[in-house]
Amino acid sequence: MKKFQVYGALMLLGASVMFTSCLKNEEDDIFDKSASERLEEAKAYYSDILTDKGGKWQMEYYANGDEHGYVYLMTFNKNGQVTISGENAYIGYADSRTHNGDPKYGTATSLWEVVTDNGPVLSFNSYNKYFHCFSSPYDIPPYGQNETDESGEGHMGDYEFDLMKYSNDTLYIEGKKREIKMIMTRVDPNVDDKVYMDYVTAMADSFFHPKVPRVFMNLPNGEKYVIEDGASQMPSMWKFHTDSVVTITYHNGIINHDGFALMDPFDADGYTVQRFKLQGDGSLVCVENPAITVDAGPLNYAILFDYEHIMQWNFNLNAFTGELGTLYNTMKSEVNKGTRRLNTINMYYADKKTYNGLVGGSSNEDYSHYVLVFNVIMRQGASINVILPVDPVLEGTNDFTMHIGEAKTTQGANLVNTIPALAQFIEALGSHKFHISAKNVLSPTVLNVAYAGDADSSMELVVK
Amino acid sequence: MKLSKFYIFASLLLAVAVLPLASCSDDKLGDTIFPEVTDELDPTAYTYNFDKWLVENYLKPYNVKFNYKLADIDANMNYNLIPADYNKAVDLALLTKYLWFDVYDKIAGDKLLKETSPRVLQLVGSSALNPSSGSETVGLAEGGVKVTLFNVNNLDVNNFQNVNDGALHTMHHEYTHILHQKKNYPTEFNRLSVGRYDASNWTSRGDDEGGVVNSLGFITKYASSEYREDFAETVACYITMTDAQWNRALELATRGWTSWTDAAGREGWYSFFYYSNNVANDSNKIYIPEVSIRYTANNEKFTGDYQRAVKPFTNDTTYNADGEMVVSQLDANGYRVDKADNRYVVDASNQHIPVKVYPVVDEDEVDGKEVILQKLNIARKWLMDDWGIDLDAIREEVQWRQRNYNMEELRQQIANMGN
Repeated sequence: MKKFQVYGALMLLGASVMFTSCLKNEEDDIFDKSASERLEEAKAYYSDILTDKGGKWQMEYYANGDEHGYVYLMTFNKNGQVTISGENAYIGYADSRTHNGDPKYGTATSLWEVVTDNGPVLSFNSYNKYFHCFSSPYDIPPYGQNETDESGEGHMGDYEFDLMKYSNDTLYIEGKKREIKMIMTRVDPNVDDKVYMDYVTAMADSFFHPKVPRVFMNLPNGEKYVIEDGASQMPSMWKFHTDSVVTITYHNGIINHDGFALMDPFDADGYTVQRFKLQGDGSLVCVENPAITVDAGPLNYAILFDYEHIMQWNFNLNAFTGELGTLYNTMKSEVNKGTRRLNTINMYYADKKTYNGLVGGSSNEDYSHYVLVFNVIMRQGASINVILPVDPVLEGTNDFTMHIGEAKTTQGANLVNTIPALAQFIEALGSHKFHISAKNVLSPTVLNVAYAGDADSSMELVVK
Repeated sequence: MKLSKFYIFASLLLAVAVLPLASCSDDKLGDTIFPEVTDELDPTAYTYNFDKWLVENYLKPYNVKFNYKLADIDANMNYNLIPADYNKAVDLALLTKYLWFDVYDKIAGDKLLKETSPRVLQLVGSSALNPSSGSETVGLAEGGVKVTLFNVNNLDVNNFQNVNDGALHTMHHEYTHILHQKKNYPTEFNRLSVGRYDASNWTSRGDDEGGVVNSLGFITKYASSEYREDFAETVACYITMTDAQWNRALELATRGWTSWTDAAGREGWYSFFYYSNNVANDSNKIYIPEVSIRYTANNEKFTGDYQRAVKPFTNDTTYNADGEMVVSQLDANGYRVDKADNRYVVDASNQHIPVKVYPVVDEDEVDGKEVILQKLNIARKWLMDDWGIDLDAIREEVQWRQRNYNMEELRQQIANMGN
């Protein structure tokens, strides 16, 4: 009996070995290809994507977390070559160590390959002087006196990218060493690289104007975020009406062919934002949530009479129209007599020190901080400023009335008193309600200011 | 009965053993789970001709992979490196073959490199600048398997000196490491400069040209870092340095050297001095760089720190230490000397008062030239005895080739691959 137990156990063991030996077949049913085969397929898959439809892509490239991104245009050829075009200051430095720092266009051809590592990797594995300048260990632009003081760090940019995902002509990639997530978007193969890059550079100059340093992101819940210094493509942001010292956040951005994007998504009061598309009126609309917009804010209190007291305005002396134009032309012809010439009309915020400097003494009166200044040249080398305090009353987001006070200097008052047309013009400015509009609501550096209800009577103010 | 029971049980056991085999009989072990790896090159690739040339000239004869593309896994991830320029890589591959592999094949037979060459040659476009220490690596030999060459993008292939400094010297250096890692060189070599190596501060040792370390018995500053580097540098320098460069190093090795700070606060290393206005006392000692006493043949152009003080001589006329006008001449090294072979400069007083130039007394107690030559002899003998390599023949062949190579002709090899 004991023997049978032993033999029974042996048979059971043999049977279990039989089943165990067949497990491989079951695995084959699930993974019918080896890991390396699947990697090779992924390599071919991404190589085909890159070269498909003409093979031209825009890459939004970030070298590191401390500087903004750079747009590159890349054309992938099936023969293993890639032509990379860009327009930035470092391309200038790649050509000359003494470059002046302006964006410079450059295009160069090198090699590319999708290689397999832990996954498919896009590798720019031969030198491209206009792309690898961000990966070079050398200081660009040169720092220090000579090449022996190199730190070996450079911009620390990646030239190999993990290929993460492809969707809707967009490749999601991640720098292999720095792990910065970037995207590549397919571009019409017929576009001219230089025309494209020139357009991107022009885009960078056309919005986020440095003279409009603060703009607003408007959220669907009615809240706003201040975006400061967008022109640097390294904006800081904080929730409007909060203590910016506490709530400010700093971001890397990039101005691309379509608008603006942040390197990393940002949670703005519960809304995730990253990419913004430029609109015809100059505003930006969030791609992730089109209800989120970016503009310069209310034109009356954020721009013309900006609450930060930063902006100054010049009146365009050749752009008065309608009734206002008639009054202006009359005033101008009365002022411009003999050697006397109307030179400029400006409006800006004057703090007490500036104001005292304007009126030529110290003043303790309760005056408006905004001033309207007519500069009249009396003769060569001598001019008079007619300084008029302005007490603006704002309505809504685009309307205002100036409420102009008496001229503050004796010379200025005398000039107003002796030229009735000047007094009438000032009276018209001070008594009418005006409506402001701007062609570009993100960079309203030129304002159209018209009588409320009479758009034909208008003037143009240009940021100084 | 016992026997029949045994047969029954044995049969059962056999059946149990056979069943699993039978159940898997449709499994075939023949196919690998990995995809077939083929060495076939893509004839439509831009790099096809070059890749084919690399296969024919490195992979097939030597089993060497010439890696001209850079993947970060091929390099130290702590460094910021960039790939080599393709055209530079092509030229360097041709020169490496012509100035290294072909030379050893010709002199030492084609088996040597098949057996001892590194398996991978990796090119890197930039220097390897260590962000932590600030040091620069020009080449790496990893376990005799892989040699990495840096700074390829700055090579000027039409200037053999540049190619030597940037690549070929490093290759011969690293290859020497590979050889001595396989067979030790005599320890006698290590004893020649005991106590004079400085692994920490070798980069800042002495003058820029290396005269100070030459006088201590090292062929280069890097050689003075440690004995294994000393050995590799001695061999590599002997092979790649021209006669003029080698003899210059030996001449510098015979000099005495001293560190001195001039009136402007500049510290330097000097091997010559004179006495201001020929008044011989220590406070009048002015040390001068050699360049200040190296005159051009026609005396029209003087360079160096004392340029402002130097006026051209008329013809070959100059003055001796006593102020007497003498006829000078140039010695074999281009120095202006009088008939007694004394070298001259003009004093900083900007007057035609010649001063006699004295050599700094060699007080380091090392016959630098002799030590370098002893090291060379040890290396020469070891290479011949242990490897059958005639170092002088290698040097002669390299010297001839680096003087006479034609880059366009070499490039034709790649172009011919397309035929």
